[in-house]
Amino acid sequence: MSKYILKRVLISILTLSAIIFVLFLMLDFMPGSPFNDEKLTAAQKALLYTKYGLDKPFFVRFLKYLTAMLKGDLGNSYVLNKNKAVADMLKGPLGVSIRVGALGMLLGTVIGLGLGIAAALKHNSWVDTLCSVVSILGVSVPAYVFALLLAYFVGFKLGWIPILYNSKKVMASFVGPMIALAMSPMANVSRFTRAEMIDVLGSDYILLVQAKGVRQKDLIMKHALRNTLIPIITIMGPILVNLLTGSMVVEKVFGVPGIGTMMVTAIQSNDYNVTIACAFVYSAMYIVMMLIIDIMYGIIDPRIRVAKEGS
Amino acid sequence: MNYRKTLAAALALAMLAGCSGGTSAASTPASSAAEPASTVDVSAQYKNLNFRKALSLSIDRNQIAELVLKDGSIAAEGFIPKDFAYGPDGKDYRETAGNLIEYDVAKAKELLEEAKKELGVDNFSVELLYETDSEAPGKVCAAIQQMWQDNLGINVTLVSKTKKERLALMNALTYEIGLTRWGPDYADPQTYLDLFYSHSSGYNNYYFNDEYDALLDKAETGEDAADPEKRWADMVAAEKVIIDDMGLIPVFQNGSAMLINPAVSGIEFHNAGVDSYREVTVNKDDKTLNVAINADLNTMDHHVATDGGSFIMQSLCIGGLAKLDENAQPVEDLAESWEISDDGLEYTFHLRKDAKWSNGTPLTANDFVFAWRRLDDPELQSEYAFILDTIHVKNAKACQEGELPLEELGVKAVDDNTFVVTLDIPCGFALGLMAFPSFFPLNEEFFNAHKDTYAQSLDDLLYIGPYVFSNWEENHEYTFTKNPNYWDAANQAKYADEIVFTFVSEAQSAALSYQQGNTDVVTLTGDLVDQYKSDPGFVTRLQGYAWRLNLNQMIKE
Repeated sequence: MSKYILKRVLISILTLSAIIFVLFLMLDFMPGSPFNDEKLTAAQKALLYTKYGLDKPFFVRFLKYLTAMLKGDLGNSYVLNKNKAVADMLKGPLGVSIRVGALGMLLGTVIGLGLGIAAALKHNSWVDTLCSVVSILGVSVPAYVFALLLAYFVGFKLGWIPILYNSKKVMASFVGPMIALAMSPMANVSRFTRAEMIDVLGSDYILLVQAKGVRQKDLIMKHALRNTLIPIITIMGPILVNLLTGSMVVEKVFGVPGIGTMMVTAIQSNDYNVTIACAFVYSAMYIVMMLIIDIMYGIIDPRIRVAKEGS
Repeated sequence: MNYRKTLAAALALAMLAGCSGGTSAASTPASSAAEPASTVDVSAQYKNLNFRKALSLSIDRNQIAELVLKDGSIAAEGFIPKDFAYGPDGKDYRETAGNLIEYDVAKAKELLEEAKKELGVDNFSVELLYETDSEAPGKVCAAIQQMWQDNLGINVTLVSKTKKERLALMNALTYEIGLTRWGPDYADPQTYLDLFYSHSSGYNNYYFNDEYDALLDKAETGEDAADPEKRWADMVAAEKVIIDDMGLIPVFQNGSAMLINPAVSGIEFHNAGVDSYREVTVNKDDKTLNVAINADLNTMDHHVATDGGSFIMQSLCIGGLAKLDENAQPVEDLAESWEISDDGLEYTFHLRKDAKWSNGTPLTANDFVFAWRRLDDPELQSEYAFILDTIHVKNAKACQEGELPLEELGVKAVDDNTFVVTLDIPCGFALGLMAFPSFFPLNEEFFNAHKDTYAQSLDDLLYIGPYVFSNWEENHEYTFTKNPNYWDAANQAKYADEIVFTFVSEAQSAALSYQQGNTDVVTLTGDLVDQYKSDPGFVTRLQGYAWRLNLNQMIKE
């Protein structure tokens, strides 16, 4: 197992290096410059480029950035927070984004599992119909729309949650974004759980467990759920991608000071260092999640663990 | 394994193709010029004065302002906007210069026919470039497209880009017509007129006019520079020259729709300069003013800042030799009085003796000398360094370009309380600019103790203005509370105790929060105007931004 993990970690590091390179390349092709002020003359702009080392050739800049990055230096911001170290800028927003995202994912997964199980057990009943409606809505309506609806009805009309993020009431402020973000994972998880559960419940070994006289609760929790979880873990990756992209707009609606808003502003204003750092963080989160999912996969399904250890 | 190699090869090929695509595009004009001209040379139509005039005459600017934008914007009456610059007689520039813009479809059609004859073509096609960062430009260009098609029968293709892409295209002169805007740096028409002074700024370099240049030379550095009346007349004449020749087509002056809690009064909006929240009265129990801002704070360092939001917050914390009153006239702030020499070249400022920095150090003239030298320092490369040269501070340009040492800049501390500025050429609007953050003081000792981290956290800031920065939550919220050591603290007592700026990029959320009573000031986007225009707090304000069309006469492929 440890050999397998080591191998996966190495691949992840390689992937991340490739991502930085591609990001650097793409930013180089991006039109415009960080110094878009219309008042700047060409001569002034050239001086600013020299000052920030942007006049150097692509590979020189790339290698310089990479070596600095290994030392934990992500460069300084050009526009968003002039001359401030990007590493310092990221700390606060990253924590906020991770908390909101993790809560949304947790909430969505737990409710999704519950709904899926209920729908499978009461196959073709009103619970099942409700589950289908929820999953269709959750999959087809973007998180942004949910966020606006929540802000308007629950925040403004009912006044139950703050419309705008308030650092003095952090938990209350997280409710809106968390629910908006939970919709898509909930829909996906419930859909998969339902299908898997129906499949598992119809299998021979469940029949055997039932014949042994195991209580219904134990049958579901101990025997059926474990096998149902395997395919669901595989969809956690795509769900996470949805969550990351969704968080950018959800953060905007609720004014959450997260990394999503920061990244959008950075891209719009060509703040290269901030853009690279944000995109890098997103990629790193994704890759780390995939790594965790792979490891969990092995824990839940011994067959995979054995097969991987053998290779 | 094999498919990976194929994929890599395909990628490499695609990249190569991309590169060669770029070079072949660059060589097209040469080859197409050799062929017989079956189509019109695109630049030629924009070089035709009758065509340019027809385009301008067929735009109904009132319709654009009142029916399309509806946010308080007004039709342009010339290159220079209204209500931001006042002449030696105290009158608004536009009042003196008059309305130079006409809407006359019949005349436009006539001129278009002449243009067709002159160029030997049957019809025209144009490309109209605009930015999508905000929604107003798209709406305006769609309206112009409609007007040109209906009134003149011209084919109009709309090209939408992000702002930075639009600027890049315009800088490279690879566009036909572009909608662009300018916001004034100071209350003088020069801030606009300089744009079309030959070779002044990248993307206006499609147009040169000797008569225009000569008038500006005379007004800014030549024989009329010292005579405010003549200087003003030269600028009025210069504007008329460029409008008569249609070097650009003015479209509209920006308005802004806002929601302001009726319990709040005293926010001063300055069309040229920085809005002031220093003297705001809040008739609420907690005397806290909550402002939603749609752009984040960029920096508290007043020498590197370039955006309005940052300037507003810096103005709360520091302050200048002068501040602007509600009529945008300079009045005493950190200077208790000043004298201007008869030739208008020497300004002597007497600083307040009771003004102290928040660490107890008294304000001295050296705080200004040090600050202005830093602004001009080639090491710092401040994007606003040009403004010292704009008011003609002696040697500003040479010092900024590193040709002279900073000690040669025309500023000196005669004694602790006397700060003297020497100009090369008199400047009528210099005093008003003293309220602009680029000219604010900076304590040398404090700065040297912080250097690279100066202004980056609450520990790295020093205050001399009415407020101190008390809570800095990056990306989110910026709280300012009263400065107990402010020299005019007694008078300041009646104004807001606390000012909280919250960064909200979604205007709809900010507006809902306003309706709930949690936010007092919100800037609306155009799509929300209809929804909120009956709210008692709904106001529109005119801004100094003027939008115009640049018609590129030197199109590069």
